[in-house]
Amino acid sequence: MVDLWQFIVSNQAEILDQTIEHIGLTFVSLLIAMAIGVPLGLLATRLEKVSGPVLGAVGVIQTIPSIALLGFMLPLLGIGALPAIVALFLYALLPIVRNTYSGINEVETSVTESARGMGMTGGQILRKVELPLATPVIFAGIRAATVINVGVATLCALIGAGGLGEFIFRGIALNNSIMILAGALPAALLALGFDFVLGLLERNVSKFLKPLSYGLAVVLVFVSLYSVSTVFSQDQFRIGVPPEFLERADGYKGLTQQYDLDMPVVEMNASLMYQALDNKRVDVIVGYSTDGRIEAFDLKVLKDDKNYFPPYECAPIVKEDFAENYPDVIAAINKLAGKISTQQMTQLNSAVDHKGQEERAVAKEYLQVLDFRTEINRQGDPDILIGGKLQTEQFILAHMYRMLIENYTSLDVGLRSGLAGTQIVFNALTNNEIQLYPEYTGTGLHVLLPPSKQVTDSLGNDRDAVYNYVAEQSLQQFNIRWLQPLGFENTYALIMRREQAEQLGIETISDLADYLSADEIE
Amino acid sequence: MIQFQTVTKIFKDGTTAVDELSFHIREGETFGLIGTSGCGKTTTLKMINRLVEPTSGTIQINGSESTSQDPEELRRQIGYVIQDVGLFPHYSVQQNIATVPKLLHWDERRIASRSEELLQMVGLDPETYSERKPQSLSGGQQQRVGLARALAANPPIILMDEPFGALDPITKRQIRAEVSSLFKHINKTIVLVTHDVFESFELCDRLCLLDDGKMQQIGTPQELLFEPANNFVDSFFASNRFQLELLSVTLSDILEQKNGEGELYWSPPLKEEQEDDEVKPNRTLYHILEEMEQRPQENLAIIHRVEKRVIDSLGFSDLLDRFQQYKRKRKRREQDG
Ligand SMILES: Nc1ncnc2c1ncn2[C@@H]1O[C@H](COP(=O)(O)OP(=O)(O)O)[C@@H](O)[C@H]1O
Ligand SMILES: [Mg+2]
Repeated sequence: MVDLWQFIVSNQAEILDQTIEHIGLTFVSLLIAMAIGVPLGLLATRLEKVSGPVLGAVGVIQTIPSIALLGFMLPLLGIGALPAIVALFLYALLPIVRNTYSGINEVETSVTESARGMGMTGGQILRKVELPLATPVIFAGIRAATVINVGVATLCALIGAGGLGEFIFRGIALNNSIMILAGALPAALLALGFDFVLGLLERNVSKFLKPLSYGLAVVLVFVSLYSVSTVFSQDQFRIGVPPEFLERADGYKGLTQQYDLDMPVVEMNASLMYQALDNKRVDVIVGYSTDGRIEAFDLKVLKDDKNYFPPYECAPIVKEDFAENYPDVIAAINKLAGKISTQQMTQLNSAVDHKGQEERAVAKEYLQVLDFRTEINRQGDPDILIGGKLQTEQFILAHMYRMLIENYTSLDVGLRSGLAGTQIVFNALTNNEIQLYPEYTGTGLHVLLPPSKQVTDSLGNDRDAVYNYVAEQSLQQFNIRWLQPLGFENTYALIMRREQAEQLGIETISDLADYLSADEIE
Repeated sequence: MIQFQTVTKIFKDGTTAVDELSFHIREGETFGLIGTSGCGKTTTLKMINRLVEPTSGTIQINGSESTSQDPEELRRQIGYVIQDVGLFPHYSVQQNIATVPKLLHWDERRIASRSEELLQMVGLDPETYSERKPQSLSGGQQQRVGLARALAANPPIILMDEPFGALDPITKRQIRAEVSSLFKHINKTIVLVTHDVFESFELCDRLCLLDDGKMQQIGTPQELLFEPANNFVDSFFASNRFQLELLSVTLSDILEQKNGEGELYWSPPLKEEQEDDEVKPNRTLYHILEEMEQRPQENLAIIHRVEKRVIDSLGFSDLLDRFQQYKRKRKRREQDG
């Protein structure tokens, strides 16, 4: 609790910024949803024929997982506030449309009939009878939409739209619950606050109706101006950075210092980054050197000419006592040692990400090429669980280990791939929730152990030195054993579109830094 | 006042609700549309204020075709009262009554005084009820407000669709009696839809009996009863015939002395002076017999005096005898004519 308070105090400026962004995203999308949803709901009450399709459509939108919806937005609208607002708007639509529809339909027919019989026009009936009577129901819809939007808006941090989700996702990536709370708590308070304010507004809606509609008009003008301006202001060079990298010791801060880089940062989800780069929404990303999409999208990995990134050799890790108890499992795992080069791994990843093959099939084919047995596929209760992070290669490797262990021992293996963030997977391993997962030496060094700067400097860029140090320290500190490396490295890397990099003559990170500083002087 | 000329209504689903209907509603009369449920009464009524548009035929109101007028404008000149009242729940009683005057842009003061006047007219104290919301009123009170709302802009025509249908029997009787006397004072053309024959006999000058969208007979209650145009009309009243006959025959119908001369009194009187206990000649036999039962005295009679001279004294059984005579006379007349 004290920690949380301290964190909030020391990060208050950033939290305030994120809160304002969060409010902005929620409100702007909500107002647009009101401006469109209420008329749409009304239309559905007037034309019974369209009511089915309209309600169905907004209902279907609601069933699309939010992260998927953000993914759809990416190629259409890119990253930043605009796609976030559009996605939030789509989510807010269902409760507003549905409640408008049912609110108006719940008005007793005797009331509307007598209104018509007295000579009110359709517009008068709507304004003086139906809308006032439906207001409580419509407002309930708006309140529901607000609460939904405050929640979903946290996800918008994944596409660089900012908001309180930034801390939440960084916190998840680093397994830092204080940081998660620093984002989640204000978000929860916002939801409660909005609900309260809307409740007040609802009770006095007649007084607020006019200013509210003027306010709506003003906001809409601003939003359209803003979105137009964001669409056209894309000539700036921008870098997309995953949340974890922003906070890591070997992360973004060190990189900018080492190379004297200066460019606007867009924080975004690692799996959406490549697409954003391909769609020219950003120009550089911090990605992984083995990612299949490098090949698929024809991207270029910039050379780390100042050796900023430490080696990231991939090796499976297990608990020491497990290694002692299951020598046959270790033997099966080690069959893959040194068998995958960086280029091979990139191709395997590409087969999944780009060609759409299944991870399992890709893993099996590779093992068969290496002449390993792959026939046995046990389906019972697992004796061993293999973990993995959210990257494609971790899924592929998990499948390979599963096949090796099932074919070369009598054990049954289950998978727990797709865990979000290093700390989460590592904690799962130390808590015996999983028994094995592939880790990278650089990550082990900077995230799991973090030694003093002296030590990292002395290790430098020496692969073997880093491996040995990490293996030795992991055993001492955590009782974890690093098995033999697989052969490939998956380092963090700065990645650009090949076409643009060649056009600008950028080969290395230093070239990029030079280009950017030259650009500034112009 | 209102003229239907071979009006037919066929709904989209193919239901023929009204079939070649022609009739004329006279100015100032209370005109009843009666018939079994689903025979087309409501549809007929709604075609008058264009809530339903006829498929064919014409409806003239005050000599001009209703379709030639703007429907909203037309409706503001026609009061409309329905069974479920349909008061606006978010408006006060006063605001509800003010609906049509507001649409007609009356000034605030005129609206306020009119609504006060109307509340008094329908028997609700303006001070107590003006600011109340409809849901705090009883069903009967709501219907009174509904009536006041329909009368607000003083429309020459009032349409009523089963206005007392949702009320309990006691309230219904009471309001019906009040409305009946109200109607006599306000000289309006009233079209009343009801499936309750007693109600139609009590309130209406003339009736139009519908069956399956077709008109069966049009005329005064007595004409429908004693001169039915066909078997349907005859059988429609069969089960309540005696009571309806008593309801349709008035005191003046059975007096020896015709042309309404002289005065009629109760004897013995309820009040001190006999002159104060007068009986109106247009009271129906039903109501007179009913009152006779309710009065505390024994041996009640109705005294008919012409120029201070008693020419007739009618007790309970005399009234019934005269009633039988009257019926025989009518029957003869019908056979002769
Ligand atoms: N909007 C409508 N669409 C189709 N059929 C209708 C509609 N309104 C009434 N009807 C039908 O028309 C007939 C007459 O209805 P209505 O005038 O309401 O009868 P009543 O008022 O005499 O009970 C009924 O058969 C009814 O089902
Ligand atoms: Mg009806």
